[in-house]
Amino acid sequence: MHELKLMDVWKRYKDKDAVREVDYTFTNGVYGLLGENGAGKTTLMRLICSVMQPTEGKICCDNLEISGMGAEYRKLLGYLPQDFGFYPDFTAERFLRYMAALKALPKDDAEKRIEELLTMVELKNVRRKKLKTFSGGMLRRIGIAQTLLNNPEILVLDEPTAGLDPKERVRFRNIISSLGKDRIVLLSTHIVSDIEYIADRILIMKNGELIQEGTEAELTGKVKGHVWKCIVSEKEAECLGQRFVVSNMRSNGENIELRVISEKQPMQEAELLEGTLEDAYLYETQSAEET
Amino acid sequence: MTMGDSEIKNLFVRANAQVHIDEARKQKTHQAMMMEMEKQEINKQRMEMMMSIKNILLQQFQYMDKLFFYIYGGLICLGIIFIAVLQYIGVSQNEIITVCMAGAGILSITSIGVIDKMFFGKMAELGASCYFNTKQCVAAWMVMSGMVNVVVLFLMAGYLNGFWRVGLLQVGLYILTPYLLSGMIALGILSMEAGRKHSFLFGISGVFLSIGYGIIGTIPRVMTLAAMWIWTAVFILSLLLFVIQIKRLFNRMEKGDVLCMN
Amino acid sequence: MKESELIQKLHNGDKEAAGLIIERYYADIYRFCLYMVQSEEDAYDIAQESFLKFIKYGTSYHHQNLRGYLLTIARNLCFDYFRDKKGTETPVGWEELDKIPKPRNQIKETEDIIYLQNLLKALSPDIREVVVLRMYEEMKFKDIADMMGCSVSTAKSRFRLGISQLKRMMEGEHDDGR
Repeated sequence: MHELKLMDVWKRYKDKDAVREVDYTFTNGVYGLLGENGAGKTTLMRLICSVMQPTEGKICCDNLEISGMGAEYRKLLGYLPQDFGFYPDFTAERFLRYMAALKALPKDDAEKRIEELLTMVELKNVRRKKLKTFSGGMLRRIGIAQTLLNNPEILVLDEPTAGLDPKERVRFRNIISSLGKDRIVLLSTHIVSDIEYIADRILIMKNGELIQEGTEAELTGKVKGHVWKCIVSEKEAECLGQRFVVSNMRSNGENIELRVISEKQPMQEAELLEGTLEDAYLYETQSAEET
Repeated sequence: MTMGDSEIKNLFVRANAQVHIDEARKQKTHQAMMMEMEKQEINKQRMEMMMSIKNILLQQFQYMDKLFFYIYGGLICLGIIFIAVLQYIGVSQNEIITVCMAGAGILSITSIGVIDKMFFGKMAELGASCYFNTKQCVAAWMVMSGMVNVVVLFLMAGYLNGFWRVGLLQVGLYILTPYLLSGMIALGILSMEAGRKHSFLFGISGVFLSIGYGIIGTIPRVMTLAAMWIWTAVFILSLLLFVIQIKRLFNRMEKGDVLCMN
Repeated sequence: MKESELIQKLHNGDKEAAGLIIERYYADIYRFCLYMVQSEEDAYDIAQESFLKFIKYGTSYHHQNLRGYLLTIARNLCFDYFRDKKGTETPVGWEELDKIPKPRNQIKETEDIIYLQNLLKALSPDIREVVVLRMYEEMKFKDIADMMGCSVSTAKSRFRLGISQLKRMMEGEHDDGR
């Protein structure tokens, strides 16, 4: 069990600030990091994994600064980068053995662990196949297997479901939600449904800042009374789309059914709807734009 | 501490003694601690045992892609054969020294290029989060290839000194300077942004530097004792820059940007 | 028992070790919290929280300096406490700083501690922290700087500033009272 505290963390570059003033504490559970591309999710994860150093502020694990902890901290980590690199000519097995060496696992433990993990991610039958023959979904699964070799207590996954088909997505969600009980799991995505139901807390990032966080219930609560159903003609739909945030649009024959997010009633015939996490996300990111 | 400071210090000392500690609260904390300890599972599955660095390196070597080692080793053998051939067909002292210079340069660039291929690129970011991280891998393998290089350079020096009767000090300067110079440039390439075509640059600079050394070799009287002070100056400069480049590389690896393909 | 042994025992669930930790460090941590937050109730709470956090999160590491680690936890909690309390406290005005009277009607036994508390209250938390860590806990500036997340020179200058502010207040009283 660990407490990971980010205190006033900034990552500045010459042309922009990738992470701004992030202040947050993680404890056991699954955290979903939502944000579009360029919001700073990857940079934040790299900072947490000590791949990069913050320009300002510090990151502490159990009140010890991670930059000072060095390998002691990395011992606790499991990281799956967005751009997951691997040696194409390696077999799945060899790759896992190589990673196990880097994670300093003694040979016997490594072999045992590799067996368990290959079973868990259902890649046992292709263990001797080269990674270059793997599909996207299979690569992600070997990626997750690699992450778990050292039974990490802090698991960081950067867009682990990108490019996966729906079935694989579900498989992934099931694996991840089972892991959150005894460790810190942080996963990032720009697809809301990936973390719906499995994240204990959700963090929303925009322009490097943590603009909102809370449980799913808290976030959807914030958008209560702001989600409307509007049935309009195509022309009106275009109009509304320009004036308001539209989270969904569907045509039912003659008319267009819009799902509009607005604090004020967008039009007279608008009907109030139950907010979802997706609505909350759009609401928060749009509000951040306006401020 | 000035007079004022010790006055304050004494105030603290007196105040400390006057702070009353409520035994009940203290015991309450004790109880809370014990309750917390009970909650925690004692048999955590955490792998406490970690391998030693030596074992890590051995295992890593066992599983890693050894292609580039073979290339590296192959190049060394080719170099030796090449020099043997040259000696057989008969060359001047200057020419053989020049060849050795170019050889030392290529040795340097290749060993750094190999490290680039092995640890930089796509695996770098993932490696950075491991117990034995990318920076440590690079350091370890640099030391090891450095040792191999030193042996090769020694052989070269011994050969030039023994066969060609070139003074040991001169030999040292003649082959170490290009080694450090080429190395410095190779390290610079390594420190550049990820994603660039590093291998291409290593090759190009290897070729250009070899040509450069060749040209230097043809300058009249460049290998005489009179020119020694120039060589010494260049050697010291190269050594300095080489060390600076190493520091720079490791700094950039620590910062992390150079490891991420972004 | 050596610290490392103690921590190892604690990690393995030895309850006796918990008692030893309390005996060794409770007073220290409590006093530190008291100087920082000025309230006995809150100081007891924060001290307890510090030890709990240590048990929860901190027993799997090899701490070179256990006291320093416990203090780090405590000071981080104190600063969380300040952050939560922001806006509800009225800042002490500069005019009031010049003259902090020594409490006269207090029982002799407690007059120093009350006086010191009043002095410390007038300092800003950052400065208070350095003064307490240096004067009371006798920590090296390097360790203080690490804890606070600033440079050694910043820590030193905060300390000097704090000391001069304290002296000013104490002298102000002397002029008035003697």
